[in-house]
Amino acid sequence: MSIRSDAYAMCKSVWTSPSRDQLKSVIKKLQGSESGYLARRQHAQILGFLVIDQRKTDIEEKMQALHIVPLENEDRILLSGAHKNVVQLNTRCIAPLATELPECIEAVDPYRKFKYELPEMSDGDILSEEALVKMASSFSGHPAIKVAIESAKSSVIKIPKGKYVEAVSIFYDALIKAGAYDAPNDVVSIMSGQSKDSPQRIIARHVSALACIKASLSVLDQLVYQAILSNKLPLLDQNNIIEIGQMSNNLVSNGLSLLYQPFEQPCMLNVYDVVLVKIETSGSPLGQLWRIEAIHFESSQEFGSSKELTLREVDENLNPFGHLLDHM
Amino acid sequence: MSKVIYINSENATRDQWKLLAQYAYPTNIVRYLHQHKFADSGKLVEYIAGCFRQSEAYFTAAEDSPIDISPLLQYYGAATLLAGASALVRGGQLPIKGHGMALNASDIRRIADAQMIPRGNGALQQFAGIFSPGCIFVNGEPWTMEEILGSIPDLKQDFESCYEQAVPYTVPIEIVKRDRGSLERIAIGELRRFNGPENALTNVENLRQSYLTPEHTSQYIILHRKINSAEIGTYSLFNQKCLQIAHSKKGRKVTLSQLVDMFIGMFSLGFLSRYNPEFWNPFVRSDETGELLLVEKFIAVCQRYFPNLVLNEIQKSRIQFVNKTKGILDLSATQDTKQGAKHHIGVTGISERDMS
Repeated sequence: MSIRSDAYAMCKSVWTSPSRDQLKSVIKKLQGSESGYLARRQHAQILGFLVIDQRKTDIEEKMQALHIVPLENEDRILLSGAHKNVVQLNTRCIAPLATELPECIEAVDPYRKFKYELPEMSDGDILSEEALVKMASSFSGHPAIKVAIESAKSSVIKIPKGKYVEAVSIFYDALIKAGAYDAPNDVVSIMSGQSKDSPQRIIARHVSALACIKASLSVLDQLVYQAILSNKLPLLDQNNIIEIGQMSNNLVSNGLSLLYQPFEQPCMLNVYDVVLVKIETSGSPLGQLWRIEAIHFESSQEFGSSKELTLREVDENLNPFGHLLDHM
Repeated sequence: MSKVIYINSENATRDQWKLLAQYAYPTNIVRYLHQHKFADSGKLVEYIAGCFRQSEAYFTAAEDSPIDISPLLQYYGAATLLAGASALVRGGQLPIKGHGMALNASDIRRIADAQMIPRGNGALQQFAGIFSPGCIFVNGEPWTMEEILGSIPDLKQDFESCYEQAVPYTVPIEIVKRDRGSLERIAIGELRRFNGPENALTNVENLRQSYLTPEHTSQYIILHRKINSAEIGTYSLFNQKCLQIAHSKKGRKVTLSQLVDMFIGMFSLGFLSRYNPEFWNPFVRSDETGELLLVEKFIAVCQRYFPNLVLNEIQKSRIQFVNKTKGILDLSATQDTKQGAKHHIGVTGISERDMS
C-alpha cells in the first residue's frame, strides 16, 4: 500500500459521509457564481469560498463591477466544518514532524498564507475518525518527513524559528515558478555543484523535504475536495486526448504537456485539479496521477476547441516534487 | 497503409508502370516472394510475370482505343493485374473461376442505373478478400453504377454536377497541420447532399474507433484522430483524404476499398459496351445529359490511378507521384495556423494564481 492508494481509500469514505451531498450541492451552486470564480483562483479548495466571503467588502471596493453574494449562514457553517476536517487531516498527517520539529509545522501548512480564522464550531463529518487515523498512519511514513527530521540533526541547520515559513515558501514558489518542465536554476546549481554532505546541500535537502511535505498535503487536500464533488477523478485517455506534447524528466519532477478535447468528459478542469492520465505512448510509460499547473484554452470556428494542459506528475507519496526528494 | 512514399515524376502513368514492370521479371518476383516468406515455383513466377506484362498491354491498348472498346480492354487489364498482384502478395495463384459478377442493364436509361450483381465466390469476392479486407458481397444484391461512381473521391464534383439529387459516398477531408496538434476537418458545404451531418457521419464505419467525438462549428466538422488508432478513409489521386460512406446491403454496412470500387465500375462499363451495344453506341455517340463526361473521367481516373493503387498494395505504402523542384528547403513562409489561432478565450496559469 502507498500513501496514494490509502488516499484513494479515504476518498471513497468521503462519498458516504453524512454531509457530502449537501456540501456538494452548495459548492456546485457557488462554483457558478462570481465568488465561485474568485474562490477557484485561490487554489485553496473549500477555504477559497470562505476567504472570498470574508474579503467581500475589500474585493467589491477594488473591483466595483463585481457583486459578491455573501454566503448563507448555513452554507458558511457547512463549508467551515468541512475545511476544519481537512485541517485536522493535515495536522494528524504531520504529527511525527510536530513532535520532532515543531518549529516547522507552520511552514508545511498549505493554507498558511490565508490567515483565515475558522469560527468556533463543531467539526465537519466528511472525514470519519477512522479515515483520519488510517490516512495519518499512512502519511506518517512519507519519506520527506524522514528526510526533514534526519537533515535537521545536522549542525548546519540553524534556521531561526520565525524564518521557516519564509524559507519554505520562497523555495516552494521557486519550484512552481520554474514550471513543470524545468528545475529552478538554484536547485540545478546546488545539485550539480555541491557534494551531498556540503552545508548548502544539507540545508537545501531540509527545505526541499519540507516543501515536499507541503506539496503532498496540498495534493491530499485537493483529492478530498474532488471526492466531495465527484466519485471519479477526471480521466484523460484515448477518448479525449488529442496529442501528447512536451515531456520532461527534470531534477524536480516529471512534466507533461497534453492537448485534449474539452467538450468530452471531463469538460471542466481547473488549475491544481488532480487528474488521471491513461494512454499508451511510444516512449516510456506515463505515470497515472498528475496535477494541472496551467491551462490554455483555444476555440475558433476554423479549428474547433482544445485545451492544452501543463501537468506535473504526482508520485505514490502524493508528492509532485518526487525527483527533488530523491536527488537533493 | 500509413507509410507514404513521394516519387518525383514528370509522367506518373509511365513511371507507375515502370515500378509495376519490376514484377514482370522472375528475379524480382522470386526476391519479393522470399522477402515475404513465400515459396516460389517456376509456374507461379511465370503466372505472375505474365499477368503484369499482359495487364500493361491491356491498359496501353485501352489508352489508345476509342471509348467504344476501351472500357472492356481496361477491365481485362484490371482483372489481370489483380490476378498477378494477388498471387504475388499471397504467394499463390487464386482459384478463380469466372468474374464473380454479372451485369444487369435491362431497360436502363442512364449509366447510373446499370447494376452489378455479385455471383458466388468468383474473382470479385476473392480479390475483395485481399484488397478490401472484411468486405463480403451478398450474392445477388445489386450495386448500381451510381453507387460506384459516387464512391470515387476524384469524381465527387463531376458526380454531383451530373446527378442532381444523388448522394455521394465520399466526403473530402482537409488535414490542418498546426504547432499544437494537427486536425482534420470537413467543410459543412461538402455535406449538403446528406440529410444532416450526423446522417453522413453515422454511416462512416469505424469513425468512433479512429476519431474523438466530432465537433460541429458553423463552418466545419472538426475531427481529431485518436492516439494510436488505425487510419480510416481513402486518398484521391491528388492526395486528398476522404472519408467513405458505407453502402447499405441487406441491412449491413459495406465499405469497399477504392480499388474494388474501380474494379466493379470497369467491369460494368466493359460489359455494358461489349454486350449492350444498343445502349452503349447511342450513348457515346450522342449523349445529351453530360453523363458521358463523367464516364470519360471515370475511365481516365482508372487508367491513371488503378495501377497506382495496386502498386500501393504490393509495396504496403501509399505511393504519391509529385512534380516538385528538388534541393530547396523553404523556411521563410509564414504559418497560417499561427494567424488562425486568434480567438483565445483565456489563459490560466501559475503566473495568474495567488490573488490572496
